[in-house]
Amino acid sequence: MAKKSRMITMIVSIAVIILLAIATGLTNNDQTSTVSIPVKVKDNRVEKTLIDPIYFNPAGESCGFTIDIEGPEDLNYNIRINTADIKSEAVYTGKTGKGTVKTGDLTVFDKGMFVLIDPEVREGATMEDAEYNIRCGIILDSYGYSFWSISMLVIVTAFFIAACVGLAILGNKNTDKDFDERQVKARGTAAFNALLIMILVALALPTLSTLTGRHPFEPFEYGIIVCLSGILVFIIQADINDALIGMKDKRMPLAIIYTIVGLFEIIVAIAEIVMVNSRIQLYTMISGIFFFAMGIEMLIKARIDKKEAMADEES
Amino acid sequence: MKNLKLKSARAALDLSQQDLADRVGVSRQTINAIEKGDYNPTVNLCIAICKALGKTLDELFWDEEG
Repeated sequence: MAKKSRMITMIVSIAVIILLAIATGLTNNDQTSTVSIPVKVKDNRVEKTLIDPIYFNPAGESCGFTIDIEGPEDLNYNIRINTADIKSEAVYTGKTGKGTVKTGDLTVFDKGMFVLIDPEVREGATMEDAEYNIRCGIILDSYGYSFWSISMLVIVTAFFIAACVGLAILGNKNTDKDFDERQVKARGTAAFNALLIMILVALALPTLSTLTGRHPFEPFEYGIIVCLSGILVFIIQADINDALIGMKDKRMPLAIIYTIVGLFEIIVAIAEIVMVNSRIQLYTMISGIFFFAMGIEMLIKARIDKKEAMADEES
Repeated sequence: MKNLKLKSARAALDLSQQDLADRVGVSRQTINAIEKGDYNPTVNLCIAICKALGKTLDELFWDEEG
């Protein structure tokens, strides 16, 4: 039975790793965007308005842009492409008229890219006061083995294996008689369900990323999400079956610690977003939510358990 | 199915679920689950419970209706 389970786990793990490799190791990653830029010409000058840069997220070592601009003949367009790092130098600058321009190969290594198109009246041209809508079609073609994909694959796999081993050890630990037979069984079921959830999350996140062409998380964040999902399922399911902390029931202190840690992390994450105006502190926020959820579940369970014991004493 | 025999045998000795659990070496919740019929114990655990309560397996775990 144990051999059979081990064999199934091995096959599933290998399948997950292969699927992850396929899902994340895809090389060509084309993205197309069409934007409309409103331009107001007055006194033969383009009135300066705030133009939003267009964001792209290429996956791969290199990428190239093909920009097709449709607008008046007498306008020139300054094109500037930066990586997402705000302090970085522009990886491409150029000036073009109406028509198509290719940037050639830009080495980006998976960094997000901002494309800014800034129109101006061509030198020597005379334009009447009017408003125009400039239509820009932008095609991003990125290629090469993705550092992002490879590192994500390695990290997710490493987390996955580490979590599996950890859960397996936890699920079978009965040498010091901390857990009775029912609790060992419940821990085994919880560990198996946690494994299933981890497989699902590990498959779903990179597949969704590949399908949508968006990579909102850093590789280590994906790993953390996968790992925390499994841990959360294991802890909550084991605790619901009174099999988390063994026979020496010390649920309350642990529940209070988890809740405080969770709340603290959530507050820190929110404070950073509000005060520093930074992007969402994903790791802190997710970890906080997970700790908080575990803490609340354990507090509720502790209360139910206490009531149950009191009812037994009274009967 | 609830194990009322176990519950009454325990009550006859004026033992709480926790007391019986301590004697048998399991958690209170496991005794509670057995009494509520949520968990089928192994033979080893059944024997340990019988010894702790001074009863036989038949007296505590034999279901005459089943």
